[in-house]
Amino acid sequence: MSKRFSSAPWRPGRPQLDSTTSLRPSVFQIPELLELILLELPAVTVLTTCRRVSKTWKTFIETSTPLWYYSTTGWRFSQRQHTLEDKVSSRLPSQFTTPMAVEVLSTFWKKLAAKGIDQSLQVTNEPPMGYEYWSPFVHGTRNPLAAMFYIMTLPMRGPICAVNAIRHRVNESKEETNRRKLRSDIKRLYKQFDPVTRLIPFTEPELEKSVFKDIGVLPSCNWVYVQRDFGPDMSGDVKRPSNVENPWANLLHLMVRMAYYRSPKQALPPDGLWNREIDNGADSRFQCDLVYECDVEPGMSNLHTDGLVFSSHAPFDVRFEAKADRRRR
Amino acid sequence: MSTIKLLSSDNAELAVDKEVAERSILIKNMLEDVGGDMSDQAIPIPNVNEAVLRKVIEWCEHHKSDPPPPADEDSDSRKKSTDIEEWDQKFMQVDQEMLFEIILAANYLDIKPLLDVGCKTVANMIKGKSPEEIRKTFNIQNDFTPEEEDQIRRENEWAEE
Repeated sequence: MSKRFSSAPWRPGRPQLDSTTSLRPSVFQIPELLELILLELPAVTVLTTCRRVSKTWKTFIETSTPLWYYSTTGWRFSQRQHTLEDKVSSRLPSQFTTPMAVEVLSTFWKKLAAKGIDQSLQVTNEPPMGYEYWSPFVHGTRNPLAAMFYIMTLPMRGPICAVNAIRHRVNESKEETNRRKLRSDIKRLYKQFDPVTRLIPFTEPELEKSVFKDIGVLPSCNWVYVQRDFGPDMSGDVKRPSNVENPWANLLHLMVRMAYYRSPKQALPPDGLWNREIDNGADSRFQCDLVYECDVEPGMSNLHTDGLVFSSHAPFDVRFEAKADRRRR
Repeated sequence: MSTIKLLSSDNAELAVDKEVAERSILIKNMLEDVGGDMSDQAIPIPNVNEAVLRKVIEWCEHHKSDPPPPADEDSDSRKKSTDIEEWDQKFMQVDQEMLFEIILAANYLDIKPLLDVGCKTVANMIKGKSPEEIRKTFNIQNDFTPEEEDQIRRENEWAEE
């Protein structure tokens, strides 16, 4: 009988977690129980609110494997093996991205929308004057998510890169002032999101290791957003340059497909989007090209193009939030 | 139906149906070990006092005919995390001390579904609260230095309204 007792889940002799003063061990001081409780919360709450409660909680969340996995991916650790196999076999991009990554990206879009970006700005057909090198994001950090985050926010980042391609609808005469304001708004927002993009993996971390292991290592990758005057071909597999044997290209390929599958509606007619206001259509997918540069031969770089489609539907539906926000004020 | 007796930490003897008591895996295993005959001897439950033990038995009574929990703990029932059935919600309307005692008892007695309900109840108390409110609610000491607190605040700025 005593053997049974000693194998009970709660062992009073275990080292205690917390420094709270209480005669009885609090539920929160027993690691197994704190873990069970936190796993019942939304992953984002564990990652943000709960890590701010106390140092003890923060350390515990970051060192408990199930909690850290759950709070950075949104998936339960116990389901990991199963989902890992699923994902490898199906390679369906919509299952590829972690729920937490989508949450973070979605929050980003909503915050940007709250600033009225979709209401006040119009993307025109003017070609950009060149593109910016986002070297801090790509080089040096070797952080796959930073790169992925960069891609996923491209339609919003676009106006920064291609300064000539936007025009302020409301007040054309103050165009440059408005652009400057927008640029600084977005930069501030990126600064806010930078820490979290370093914490959360974009895909199943194990997959990231095996599939995307050399992301961020290539020395000459950079990105630019330009608008195109025809939509990407979604009839079959998304086309991508065949001579690019690099993980970036695969990644882009996945991103295009993911954005495509996420939207329940068909893409806009090819020539419709850029000539009209973004928020007046029934379906306002963003279509854009992603041009990226890579070395095809030593010393010779080439620009390659891939299409991206972003829709105004969940999880990137920015319009509804923006309107709701305005009503509140 | 056979009845067994449980002895709480404060020496109260409680009679309970064997079937009800066996919601506790700990007790179930103990009874199996001794061949099921515990009719004349109270089983000591040294970590649980009378008030808590009565609560736990009340829960076990109500749930005595529940189907056994699915073996696969990732089934859909687990995903709907903070859904608690109405009876359990009312059952859990107790002060925090009792709630924690019930969780500790469920853990000790190895009553997984009760432990789940308890954890979900606490999770619901955490939901929607700020870190400061959580500290207050559960009397948790803020052991961050001001610098650490500032850093973690900046790390989470993205999620703030």
